Amino acid sequence: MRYFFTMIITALLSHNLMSVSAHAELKPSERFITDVTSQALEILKSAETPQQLETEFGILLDTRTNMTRIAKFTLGHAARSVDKADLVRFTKALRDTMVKIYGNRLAGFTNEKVIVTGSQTKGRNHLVNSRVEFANSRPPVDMVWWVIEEKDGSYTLFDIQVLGVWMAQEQRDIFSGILKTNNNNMEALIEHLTNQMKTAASDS
Amino acid sequence: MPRVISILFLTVAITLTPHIAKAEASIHDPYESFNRKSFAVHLVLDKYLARPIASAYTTVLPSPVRRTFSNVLRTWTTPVSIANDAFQGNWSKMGTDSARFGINMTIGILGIIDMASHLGFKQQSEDFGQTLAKYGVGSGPYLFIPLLGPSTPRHLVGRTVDMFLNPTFYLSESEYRDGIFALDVINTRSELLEPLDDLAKSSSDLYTSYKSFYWQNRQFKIQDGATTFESLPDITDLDDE
Repeated sequence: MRYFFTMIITALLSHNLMSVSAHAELKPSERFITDVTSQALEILKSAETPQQLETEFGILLDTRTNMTRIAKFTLGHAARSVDKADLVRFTKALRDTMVKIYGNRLAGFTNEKVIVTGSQTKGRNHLVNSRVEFANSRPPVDMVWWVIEEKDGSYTLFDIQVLGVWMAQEQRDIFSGILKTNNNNMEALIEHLTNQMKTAASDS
Repeated sequence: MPRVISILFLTVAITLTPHIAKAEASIHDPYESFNRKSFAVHLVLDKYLARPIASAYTTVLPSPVRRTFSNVLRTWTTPVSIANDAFQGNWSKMGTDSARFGINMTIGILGIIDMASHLGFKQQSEDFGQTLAKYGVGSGPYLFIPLLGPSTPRHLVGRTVDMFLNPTFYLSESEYRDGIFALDVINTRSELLEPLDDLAKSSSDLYTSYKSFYWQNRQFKIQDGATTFESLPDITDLDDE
């Protein structure tokens, strides 16, 4: 029994000593995520009407993401053959749907904290790790942000991972199914997004 | 003879050494039509059975009580993780899980308080499905089973083996065993009330969302919760004009 407790105490001490690390200054990609999340929480706190929330959330998306890249990714193989006009229409439909759905979904989160815990870099790609602490009793959730350094040196957000699930990947899976059942018809996909937006608007 | 046995043992050990499982790119769904029907049945059963029970459970029991149940259930099933850590030869994880089990069963009063997490020992669950994946066993096709949820043949085999690794399976009184099982199911569903409601509201194809979430999350667990650049899709051609 004494041996058992000694083992536990030793494990505790060594584990805690190893986990103590000084937080160095934030890297540019980490600072980018800190800025984006602060901006998002500020919008959620200050927006007085759903319309204002959507407008400001839309501006956040326009300035902090590269929507064309995200749209192309969610199209999967279809991105190779889509013509420019359809891509522009699809990108807009996707952006508006995201504003409507995520804007409404995030409306309840105002006192949450996003703490950047580290990052890794490969070329222009950065994976920023963070922990979201909720205001209610919900346990904290780890999130990973896929950030891309643009050619002009600015940073844009490409995807978000929660519990191992990438959001854009999930959209891609859904869109590829819709395209498959509609003979790769972009019109059907855009119509699908428009309907989804209408449903979200009527629910809100 | 002993030498032959030693060589045989070594050969088996080398052959079966778990490798760093590479993420499988996507899940095959050859039975989609059948799976979608199963999913529809699942949604009905969930709407009229599982969800109301979970909802009532959440209403009747305050959050600290539910958290206590979660802690106890997680602690009591930690030996499943410890065994799978050993099968995978992951000794550091086995050490952490063993420490978690020891701390929570003693200082945490039989698992009522998750002291291990407070002390920095992160919860990480390993199951036999993940062990099989580490040994290179393919997942097989996607299957959706009403009330059980999304799965694959590999995961189903894993769940069966894990059942025998779970100490609560060996309780002599079947009432206790069944009671713990029922509590586990209700408690798990109650923890998913908010996320699944949110998903149902935002997804335009709930079946595919479940499949995508399940598959990505399983791959994440197989990779021990590590997100690496190697596990990401190639997006280099997205910037081409």
